[in-house]
Amino acid sequence: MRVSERIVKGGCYSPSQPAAIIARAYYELLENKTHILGSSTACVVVLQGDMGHLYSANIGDSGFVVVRNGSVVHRSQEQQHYFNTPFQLSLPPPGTNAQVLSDRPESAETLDFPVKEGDLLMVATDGVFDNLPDATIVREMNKVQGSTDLLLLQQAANSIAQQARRLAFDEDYMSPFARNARENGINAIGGKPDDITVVLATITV
Amino acid sequence: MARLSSNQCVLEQYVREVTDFSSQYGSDGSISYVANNIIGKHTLYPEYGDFSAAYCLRSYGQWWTNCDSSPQPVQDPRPLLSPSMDFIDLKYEHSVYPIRVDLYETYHPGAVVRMWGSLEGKNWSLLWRGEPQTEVKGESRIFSPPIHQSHHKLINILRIEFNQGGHSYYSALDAVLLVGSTHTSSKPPTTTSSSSFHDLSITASVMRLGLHSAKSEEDIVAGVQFLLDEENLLKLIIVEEDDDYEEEEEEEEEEELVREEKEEDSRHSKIGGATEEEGIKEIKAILEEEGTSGGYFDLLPEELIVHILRQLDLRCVCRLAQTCHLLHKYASDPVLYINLNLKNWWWVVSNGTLEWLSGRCSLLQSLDLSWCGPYGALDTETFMEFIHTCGRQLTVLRLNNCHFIDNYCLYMIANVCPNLQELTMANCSRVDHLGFGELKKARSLSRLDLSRTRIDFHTLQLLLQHAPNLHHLSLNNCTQLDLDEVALTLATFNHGLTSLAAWKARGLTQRGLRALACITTLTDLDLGWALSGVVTEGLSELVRGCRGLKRLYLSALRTITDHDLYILAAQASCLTQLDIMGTRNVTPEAVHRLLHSCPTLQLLDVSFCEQVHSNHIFQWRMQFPHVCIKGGLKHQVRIV
Repeated sequence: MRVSERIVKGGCYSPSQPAAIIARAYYELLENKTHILGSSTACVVVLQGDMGHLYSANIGDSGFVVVRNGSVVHRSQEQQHYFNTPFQLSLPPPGTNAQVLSDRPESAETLDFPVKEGDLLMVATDGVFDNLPDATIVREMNKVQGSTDLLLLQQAANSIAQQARRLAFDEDYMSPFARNARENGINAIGGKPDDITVVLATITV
Repeated sequence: MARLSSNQCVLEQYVREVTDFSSQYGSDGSISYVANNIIGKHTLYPEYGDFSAAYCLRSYGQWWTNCDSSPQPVQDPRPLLSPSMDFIDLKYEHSVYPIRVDLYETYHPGAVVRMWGSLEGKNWSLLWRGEPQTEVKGESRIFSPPIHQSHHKLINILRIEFNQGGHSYYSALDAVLLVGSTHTSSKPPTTTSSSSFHDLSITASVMRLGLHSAKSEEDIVAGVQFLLDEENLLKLIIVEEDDDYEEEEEEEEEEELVREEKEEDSRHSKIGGATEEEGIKEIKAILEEEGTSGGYFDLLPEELIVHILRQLDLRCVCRLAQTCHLLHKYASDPVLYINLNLKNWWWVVSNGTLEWLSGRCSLLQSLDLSWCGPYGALDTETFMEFIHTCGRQLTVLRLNNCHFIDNYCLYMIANVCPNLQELTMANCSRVDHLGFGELKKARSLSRLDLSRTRIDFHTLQLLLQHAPNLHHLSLNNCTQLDLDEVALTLATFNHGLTSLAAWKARGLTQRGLRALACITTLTDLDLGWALSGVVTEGLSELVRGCRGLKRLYLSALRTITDHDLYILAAQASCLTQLDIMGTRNVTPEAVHRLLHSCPTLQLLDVSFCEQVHSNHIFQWRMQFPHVCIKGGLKHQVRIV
């Protein structure tokens, strides 16, 4: 992400093509002297404020939701090869390429749509979506609807993260993940302990 | 930014744009280790280390210059300024009178040797020059060299020159801050002695007060405010008069630098001899009788005068030529212009220079025009005319960073210079396949450097077919080439090849290595960042085929394994330089075996090799003191 940050700060990107930012950042990792290994999902959202338009690119099962007046108006599409195996960018160790899933940055799912003043945007990892149902997420976001107070927004983001974390370790809880697992023929119950990252923003155009 | 009155202010600016540079570690289009990273505010300082967000120089030490395959510099008896290795041009948004320049050095500081200032690339003035500092502590620093006092001209471009020849590893710059004032004093001087003072400026006074080394903006603001006070201004002028201060009015700033040279010149022209006094008396007598106009010089044999003149650099020859008719005649002798190194004069070379030289260069064999003519100082017509007049005997032609070179120039070169052996044109971005194609006529080519140009594979293939004597080929940063195919072509047509440089090029795999293995004369292979895929068999064939392989750069070959190192240890006994930076799979044991088996090894780079740590490096340095081993730096906190 730090490479993405440098790309964006350097100004050499097109606001309407967040997938290109992901791609460029990914290929840039190959130019580092350190032999970087690892894999990740990615989600990039660009707000073109003067146009009131949002562009997004997503690879894998992280994602975003846009909430307006108590309901979800836009959300990203989860990309999976099969259950619990999301699309992912990866830099595998040399020689293991055949055994490792490595999706190309060009396979990112892109969406763009207009947004209004006061819309709430949350970008989060699957640890949030797997443990919190939409209703909970929307309820938390609604509490700060129309607010531009950074402290309040931070508190809301914290709250979402903390609830996700708590429920992740609740073994009896019918989490969204467990529900999905059952739909895929897997008898699962309880939350899903996983990385939880939340970014919450109010849109002002 | 400090506003003092309605139209005077001191501006601090970071680089807005990089308009030219001689080399960079990274590739065009990347943001890792590239020249463009110097743009904008510093992001790394005060951290110290080898970070991708800095501008990283392409080479270090003597490893690229002291090897068999490196080009010999074109002879220059005594260059005015010691030659530098790299440069970068930094453009700023607002033109200012420079007060101070802050260089943010974040890795191996001390490689900067000169700073020039210019307005839109015209009239370069030397702001500072110094020696490379190799003994500086290994930590981040802001280097603010003192700007030469007499240079207060409006500038918006800074050229930084580097000499990293004494540095132990790559140098890097994070940012360059230019501090300057936008206006000179608006008050006209009130004294009558006008010629010296018509150019009195805030900047000159700032220098005198030592404000250019003031670190805080408040100090500068206070100082400038002091100067603007009318009373103080008058005081300064009076003080100057008393001190008999003279301002240089010469257009060419190196006047001061050349003064010492002139004194030496007059020593050269004295007659030497055992019985000097007697001789002089005799000569005086003869002269009084004959009254010749050339002074003592008339009595010297022609060969001796020419021999003396050959010791002088170009500028001294020109000045001598202005002294009398006789010396003018000798200074125009083409024998003095067989080797012409104009790179050492890049800041004064103009169309006029070439026009004036063309009358004297009928015997010209080696010409180095690298770095000359930037920002329109030289145009293609003048260059073509020059080559047309003087190029018939050319064997060596260096045109690195000559942005006036286009397809027509290559056409002229190819047709006029049948004996051309060496052509280097790195960074000449205006030439495309039409121009390159002309080079097929240069059948005697033994050295060709097309680094960072737009050479395409088909045209290159054509050139290689017609260059049976090619020994040295450089294709650094030519990312549009498929190196496997290039290697196959070389193996077919260029059997005498001794060196190939393809840094950051693309597409070289085992297949290409196998092809290169057929060129048994290869001694120097720079394949840094170019290789991909498993290479074991290809590498094995390569070292078996090229028994004389000395320099092998395999930087960022991520697939290299211990087994590959064992192959090198067993077969590549002549290795002097090896770079295997940036791998995860290589173990210290394999490196140790390599060190043990290659007695002639002088340089080994195992930086960024995950399994090689500083304690290994320390031990090896003790055990193998003749090898410079790079690597084992403590784990860097930031990877990107």
